[in-house]
Amino acid sequence: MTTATRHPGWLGSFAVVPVIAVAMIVGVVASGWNRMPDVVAVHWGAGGAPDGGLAKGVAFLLPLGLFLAVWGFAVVTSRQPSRTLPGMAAVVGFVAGIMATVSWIVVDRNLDAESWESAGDVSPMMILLPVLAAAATAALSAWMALRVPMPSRPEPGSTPVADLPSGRVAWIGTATSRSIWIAVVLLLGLALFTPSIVSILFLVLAVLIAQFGRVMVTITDGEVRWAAGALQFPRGSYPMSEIAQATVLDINPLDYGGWGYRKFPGGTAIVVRRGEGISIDLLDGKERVVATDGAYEAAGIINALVRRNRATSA
Amino acid sequence: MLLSIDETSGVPLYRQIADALRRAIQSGAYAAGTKLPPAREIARALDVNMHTVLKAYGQLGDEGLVSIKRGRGATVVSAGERGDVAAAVRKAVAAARDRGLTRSQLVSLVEEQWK
Repeated sequence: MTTATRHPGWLGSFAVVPVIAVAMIVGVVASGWNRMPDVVAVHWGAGGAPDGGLAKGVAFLLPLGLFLAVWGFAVVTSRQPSRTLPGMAAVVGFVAGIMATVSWIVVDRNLDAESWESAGDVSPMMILLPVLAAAATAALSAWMALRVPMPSRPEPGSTPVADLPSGRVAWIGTATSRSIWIAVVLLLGLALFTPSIVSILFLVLAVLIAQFGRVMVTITDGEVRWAAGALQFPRGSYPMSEIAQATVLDINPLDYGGWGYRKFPGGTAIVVRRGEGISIDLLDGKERVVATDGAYEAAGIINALVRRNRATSA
Repeated sequence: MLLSIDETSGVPLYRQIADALRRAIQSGAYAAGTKLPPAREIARALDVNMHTVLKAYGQLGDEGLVSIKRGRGATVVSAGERGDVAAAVRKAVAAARDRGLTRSQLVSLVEEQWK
């Protein structure tokens, strides 16, 4: 293992913005602590009047803890040469911005109130404020993360060329994941304990994630296509005429910021599990990564088909 | 798995597909219990009728290589003795490629073990 020195851009997006946000939350809450009632207003109704209160400690520690969890997760999983760094930085920046401004508004409205019911009203403009702040901190974090060099093009894997049998050729492979079911079970569990509207969201999410438990890759004369799960959604296809070459690579989900359908600057990846997969270089310079068993065979067949098509069209 | 058909060969298409599937199973790429690709996907990829593929699967079922259950597709029952060894060889070849060993280095390793 190499101990990577952190690039200033990484520090900017994963250290500076969150640290400022946490310092702001702690500072504002601490300075107003003794001037707030024991139960503070944390929710405001449509008319802008407070309609929900929470014990002071819980009201501020809960969001702070939530943010620290998101931050910690991002720091642990964001390896420096990662293609999804800007996206992860944006998420951390967004949550930091929301938490800091919401905490500040809650403190401000509860200042010198007798009880939470008498806390100040919240105007629609004040609801807009956290959203704007979060958008700004998210953009700032992503911008700083974009300065981190992305040398993460995996070490050039082998570019095999297979001997094609005569006639019509097809190749079918799959990549399956067992760990994805943990996430699915977790989401189904959450769906059981949440109100109906939220639980529907969790159910949909569980179905979508379950799709990536098994991805099928098909190579034909004309294209390389992939389809996720029993619903065959999402799916995608890359015409053979747009492919420059295919190489074998070893996929590490952390390089792509997680599992599923991932976008990164310069390409996309279908990450089902850790392990073998193919990297397809398109003629326009974009990269398409797909996890599949038998990657060496698959890459060899794609390269052979690309050459054969080029020879017949020339 | 690599599948190929040659319409000019005179061999019935379902037999060609069955041969290709058998080859793939015996190559050790599919351990016992592994699901084979759905017939519909093979038919679509090779541009043949789905019944042709089902007939090929039926033949492998008769041979005892795969078990076919309605709605659950075809599952490899056994790769055979040759297939079991082929699976081990496949792993050895992958390990050799991974660590940059040449073909002849791997062959000499096999010969060393055989003694």
